Amino acid sequence: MTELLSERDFSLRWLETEAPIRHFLLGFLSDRSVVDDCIQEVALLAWKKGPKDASPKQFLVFSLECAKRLAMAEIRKKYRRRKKLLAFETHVALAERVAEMEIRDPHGSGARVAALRSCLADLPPAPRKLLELRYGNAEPSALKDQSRRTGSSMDAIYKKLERLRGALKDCVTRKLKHELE
Amino acid sequence: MNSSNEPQGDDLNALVSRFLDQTITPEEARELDRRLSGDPRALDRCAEAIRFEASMREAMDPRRVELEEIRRLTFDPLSGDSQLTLRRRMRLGRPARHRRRLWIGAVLGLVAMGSVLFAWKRSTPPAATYTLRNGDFETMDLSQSPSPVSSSILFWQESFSTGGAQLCDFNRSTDGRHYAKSGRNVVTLTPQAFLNQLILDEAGNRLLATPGMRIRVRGWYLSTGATEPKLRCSLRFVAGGYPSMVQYDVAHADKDLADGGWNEFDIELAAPDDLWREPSVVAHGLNQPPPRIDLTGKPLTLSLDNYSEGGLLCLDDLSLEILSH
Repeated sequence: MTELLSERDFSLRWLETEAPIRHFLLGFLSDRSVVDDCIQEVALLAWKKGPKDASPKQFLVFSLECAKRLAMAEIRKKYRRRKKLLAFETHVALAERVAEMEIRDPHGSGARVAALRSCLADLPPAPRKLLELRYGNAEPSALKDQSRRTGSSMDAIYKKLERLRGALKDCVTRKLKHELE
Repeated sequence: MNSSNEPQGDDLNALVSRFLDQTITPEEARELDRRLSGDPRALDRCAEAIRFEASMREAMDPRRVELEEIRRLTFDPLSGDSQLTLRRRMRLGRPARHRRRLWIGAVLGLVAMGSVLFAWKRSTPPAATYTLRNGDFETMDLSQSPSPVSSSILFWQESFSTGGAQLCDFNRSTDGRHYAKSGRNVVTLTPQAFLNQLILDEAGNRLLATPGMRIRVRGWYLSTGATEPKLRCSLRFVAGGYPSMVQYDVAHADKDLADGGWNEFDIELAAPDDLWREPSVVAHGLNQPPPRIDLTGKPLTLSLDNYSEGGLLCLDDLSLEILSH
């Protein structure tokens, strides 16, 4: 029966771990289906080789390490055909830093996303629509179409997005700080 | 080179934003690279921005995650030990963008067909897509199982099962002599054994028999040790299961097979215009012989039967296509 219990533990552990892993991968990989594939791969690796009897934090560290390797492998593939990427070593350094932040985050990715949703709900329709075109379920050409429709240059649209992200980041920080107090 | 004294202001934010928006130029990428590799604070800021980017994507395009768990318990009465192996597979929800494309495609298709439908003065629902579930037999992972074979074949044998059909991690079970056509698993059928599946569309609706319907079944087979290997492919209506088994054939076709090596097969099944049929398979000992019935509108099951004498028939990568319905 010991093995059965540890399998159950694995299930529970993975449910806690999946969110930060997805959060980590989403930061590095733009294609959602590649993110899904990597999550499956991490789950299988954690299942076959992960420290099942370890603490939740050790389990997360192991899973993030797997995710990091998979993300870097994907980036390496892209690196062969794209010129606009950073040096591979920089990507690795960033991945390590992001993984450390995920582990040390006192709020967790779930609380962060919940705070962000609450901030997004307060936005007026126009900026929210723009964010949906960039981050939501829209075609990749949606921002270009928006540029044509509104007569704004792509540069102006990206500047607007940058300002919106800055404002939302401040809003999330305020909400999370309030939560801690 | 440590450039910690470099300004941390808007220029870095702008570079990071352009990197995340994938609008960065090669020159800007080189500049960002230089800043990140030489300045830990810049690296921290970029890492934070990457995390926020992930939060944005998760907040605005959340994904449903489905978990599917498969358990298999093996009990050895000789040793008295139970050995539990648990295989776990995750199935993630279909990307929302694909769903939207499907919707857009369906809407455009309906609009294009509108004039034709108007002329016919009747409406036709959009065509459903019927596919075989677990047609490549890879849904179950036997790689961690102590035994390379399993009697349970997921999504198959819903109507009937037979001990002569087994899911098999082919390379392991043949000690490296054979490989699956794709992936690791195949289904093996001993003579007279069969494989069957109720044909469903993506929404789980059953494929119903219509006069003159045509279906194509494709796949790969490997036959070993049979003198005259033969595969029968049938579309059946299963009227009753064990012990009062009654089945009606809507269409069937036999395929003579070649012995040795993987070979592709392509079988077309055509239903007759008259679907009033006598039962084709009836259990022994039924009090009353089953009647002749009209099979129109009856749910269909695909059946693949090994009609070879001797040897073993292996199947892999099965697929189904509705040619007309």
